[in-house]
Amino acid sequence: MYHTTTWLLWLLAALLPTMLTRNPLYLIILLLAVAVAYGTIGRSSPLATSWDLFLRVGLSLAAFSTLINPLTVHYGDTVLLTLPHLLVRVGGIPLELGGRITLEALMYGLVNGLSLMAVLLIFATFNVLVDHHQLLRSIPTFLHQTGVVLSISITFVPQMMASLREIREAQIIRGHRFRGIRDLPPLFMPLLTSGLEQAIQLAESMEARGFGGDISPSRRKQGLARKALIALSLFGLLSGMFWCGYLPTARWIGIALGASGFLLLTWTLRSLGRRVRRSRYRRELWRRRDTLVSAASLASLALFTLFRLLDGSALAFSPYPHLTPPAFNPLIGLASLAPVAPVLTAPPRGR
Amino acid sequence: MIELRNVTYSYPDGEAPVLRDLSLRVEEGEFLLVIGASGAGKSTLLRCLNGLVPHFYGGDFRGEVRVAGRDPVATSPRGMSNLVGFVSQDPEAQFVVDVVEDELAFAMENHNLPQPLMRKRVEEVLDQLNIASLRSRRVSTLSGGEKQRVAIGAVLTLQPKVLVLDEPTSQLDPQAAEEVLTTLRKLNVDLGLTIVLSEHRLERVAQYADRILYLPGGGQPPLIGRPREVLAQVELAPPLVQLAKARGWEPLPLTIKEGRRFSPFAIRSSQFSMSPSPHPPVSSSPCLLIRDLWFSYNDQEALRGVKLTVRRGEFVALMGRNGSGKTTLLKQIVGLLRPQRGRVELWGQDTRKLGTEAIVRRVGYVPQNPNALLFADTLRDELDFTRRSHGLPLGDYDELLRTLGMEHHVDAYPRDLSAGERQRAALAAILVADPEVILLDEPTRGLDYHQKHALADFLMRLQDEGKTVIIATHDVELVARCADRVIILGEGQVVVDGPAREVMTDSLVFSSQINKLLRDDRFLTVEDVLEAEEE
Amino acid sequence: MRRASLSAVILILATLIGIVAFLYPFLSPPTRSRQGFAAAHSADAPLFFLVLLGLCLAVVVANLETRRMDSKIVAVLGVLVAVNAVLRLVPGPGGFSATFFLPILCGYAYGADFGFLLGALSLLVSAIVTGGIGPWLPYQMFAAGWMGMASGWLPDLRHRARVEMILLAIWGALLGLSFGVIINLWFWPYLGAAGMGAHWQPGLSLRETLGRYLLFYAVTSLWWDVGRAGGNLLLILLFGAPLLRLLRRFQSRFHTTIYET
Repeated sequence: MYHTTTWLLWLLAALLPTMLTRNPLYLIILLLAVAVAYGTIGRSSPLATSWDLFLRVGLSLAAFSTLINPLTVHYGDTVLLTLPHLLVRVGGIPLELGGRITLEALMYGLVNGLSLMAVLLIFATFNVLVDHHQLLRSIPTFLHQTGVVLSISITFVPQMMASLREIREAQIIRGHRFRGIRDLPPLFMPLLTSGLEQAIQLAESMEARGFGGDISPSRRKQGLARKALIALSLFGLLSGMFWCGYLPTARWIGIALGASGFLLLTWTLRSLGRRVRRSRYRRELWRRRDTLVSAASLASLALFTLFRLLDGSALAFSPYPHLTPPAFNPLIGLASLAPVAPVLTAPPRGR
Repeated sequence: MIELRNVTYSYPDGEAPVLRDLSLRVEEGEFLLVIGASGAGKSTLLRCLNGLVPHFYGGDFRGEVRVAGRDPVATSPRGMSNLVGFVSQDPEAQFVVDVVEDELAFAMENHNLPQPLMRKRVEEVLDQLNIASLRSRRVSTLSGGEKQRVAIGAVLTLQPKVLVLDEPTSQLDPQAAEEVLTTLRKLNVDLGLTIVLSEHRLERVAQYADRILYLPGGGQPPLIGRPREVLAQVELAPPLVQLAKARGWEPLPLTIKEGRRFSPFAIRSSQFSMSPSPHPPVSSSPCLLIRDLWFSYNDQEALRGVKLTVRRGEFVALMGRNGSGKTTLLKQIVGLLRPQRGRVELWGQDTRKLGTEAIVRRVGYVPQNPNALLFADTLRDELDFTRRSHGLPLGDYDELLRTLGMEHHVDAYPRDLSAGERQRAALAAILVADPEVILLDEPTRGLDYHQKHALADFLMRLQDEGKTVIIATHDVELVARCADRVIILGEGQVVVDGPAREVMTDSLVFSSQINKLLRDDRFLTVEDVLEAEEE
Repeated sequence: MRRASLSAVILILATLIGIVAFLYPFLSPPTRSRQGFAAAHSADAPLFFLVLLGLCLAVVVANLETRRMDSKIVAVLGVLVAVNAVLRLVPGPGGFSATFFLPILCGYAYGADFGFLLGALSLLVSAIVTGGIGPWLPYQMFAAGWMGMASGWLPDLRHRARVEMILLAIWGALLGLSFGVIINLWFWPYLGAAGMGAHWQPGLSLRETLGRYLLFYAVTSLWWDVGRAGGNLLLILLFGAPLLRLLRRFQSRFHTTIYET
């Protein structure tokens, strides 16, 4: 329905607010927008059952979060009730359970649960809406061999399922019963053996179609240099992370280290990708509606980033020490609605 | 186009060379059929043409190969890929991408062809092979014949000069095989593509081939020539050719049409009146009774009111198109599926009341694919597993294995055996529980003439021992050889049910070559004719 | 040799970054404890680390790709990943999953690189097929990849079959347990650690954070992971031996030796 890039941008635009804000109002708007996107254009997908699973996991995690926070955090002014005090030791570390149960801690747990729930539903909706085969094809060229591995396995999964059914029937006739994992070998071994046999034929067929000739052989030195560059850039990233974490003075040095590591890494990966001499057959169509949805996603991303950089307090919400109603900025509220964009520009049903 | 000079090759772990001092010339646009018993080196020879031997398999390679002036040994399979298209036998194991159109493009992507060219070639190939309707299908939803045609398409997009196919139809039913072979014929005639094909369904391809190469194996020198010349000297031949050879017809007929010229004069059918009946009369107690059986998968009706009685000691063949319900019926009998309406009775007991265990103790079922069964380290372990699962004491399997000709393989790894041997190993793994009724699903798929004969003989011996045998098959020659009774299913219903001779003579499709030739219900096989003449 | 040692360095660095990404909820030093910058920042950390983890995965895989992979390796890997993704659907009690013992055994038989790719890609494919792509995916992929990779570092004990099996079974159980500890970290930041930054509770030290995590872990997933560990143990004991025989039988077919004449 939409281009894969459109969906990736959508995913990013939907995820960012869950990370940047703990304001329950924006989170609720976001949740609703995502749910509407699923309900209108996602429900007909063959993977729709997975959405329910995500929803269940999300609900239980949110409930867990809502309960565990007030039980372990006793901060906040409004005491709801006082439970018997319990001091447990987990791995030798003392931990206070029970005691003062505060409204603020409860609220805090609830907001955490809400954002966790939003993350889950965003991914669930993404799963249902994106075309996985296209997603697989948009794998970057420096990973193209891995892309082929993935493509093969996606192709073989239905075959393996059919194979497993066939094997199960054949073994039942021989008196085999599946009662527990002890009885797995007669089912699994033929599956694996046939798989390995087929892999050899597949490799033949790939070789006979010119697979593997598409990477220009690099000289030994070049290969070593690339590896060294990757190692160096990873080192940059790592040291940047540690600097920022442990040396709060002159954070910019840490950020610079991390950023240069990141840039070096992207450059090296790009040059790795350029070795691959391989063309792509499939080009996805970029339609006008892709432009519209992507624009909405980008606008939302930009807005949240701007607020985050310029006015952090607009996004922040903390119930501690005394619960106050969250602030509401209509602009941010609108930006939180961005995930609903694909619904507005979707083609009418039946197409 | 292709030239081999003194090629000798042995696999890394093989002692004797598979190919010995082989020389061969194939002209441009030729259709060469490669035949020979399994293990004679057909596959090895084909893989020499694009360098898979020795590049993929290793081993010891001597001699010289040239394909369109290029040396596969020096160039490697990758370099040969735009010159030689290679398709192997298992339609399940050649796909890299899960959508037909992208699979067709895979080879071109590897060669870094520009996108507009790829588009053009994909369209051309879709039309050439008549598979345009499949373009956006997932490969897992294709039938076997469609898969093989897509696999052929996937190598044609590189516009090779030579197409090499290793038993491309051995895993297919006759209709699908026909589709594939007609496609190849068309490519050969219309595009002048050089085709090298190994195949054991000679009756279907012999007529298309310009020449036949016969590899006897075991170090014997190969035989190459016009189909008639080669078939005249080779034991491995379709029934029509066997009959013609026995009767000395010249020139050797390859098709029924050609055979008709001889048949009226050759068989003085009025001479004999007794029709041979090789099988003992059937006892009267029914062991299988099916009454008004209905079954559907989801909303697809597979069986619609099947009625059937099978008596002890009968040899029944179930025939019919793909999807006519043959396999479903077998699964109903063995209790893998249970009736939704109607009933299946074994020895007077309803299968819905019997447990699967109780059924499989007395009914054996050999599935189409022997690879679904075999997993143990040795054949003996395999048989032990069946005995143990049925709660039977372990025993000595010498006699069973001897009748199957497998006594030397008792300690072999079943997966290392050839296709025919695997089939027999699977059969042994079922028969070792000593079932009274034996069901076989497509037992001759992938077997050559010798292996088929051996299997038919073995099945008839089972019947002589008083077992009831039911086979679901497309193989008319097998049915002609051993079945007493033929049931033709269509759309989940019994269309015809009667003695094999009558049914096959009445039918145009489900009839053996000899029967098609003579149209006489006394003659189904070459042996029928020859025995009758002796009398 | 230099090539191999550089690969090892890359792997270790990526792993270190991975560990930081996994453990950052616990690494917050006391100096960051004041409200303000640090507090606000910790909230976007999950996304940042998710992306970083994805990047590290890509780098590790790309590093394995710098050498051209043989078509046989690609095909076998593809098929085994498919088998493994199917195995993931085998039902079992608790966190039992039949998807881990194959990377462990393949890593052991075919080497660390193969094990890493098999483990990591299996989880990706099964997520793609079942629509289970979620924020946990990079964590799961990394953890399963490590399982396969670490198994490749075990000494080859093929001449002492019994010891080999027992060792592998215990190894599998240990890996099964640690897998759970690691992947549960993905949502921990949302629950406990985010609280650490956005509301600073005086006196909540690293030890206490760790304590909360352990409690949280014990409540939510310990029994789950015990199921997984037990599953690995049982599966390896039950058919580690025939499986290894099978893998080694095929190993020779994946390597070709052309005799020079």
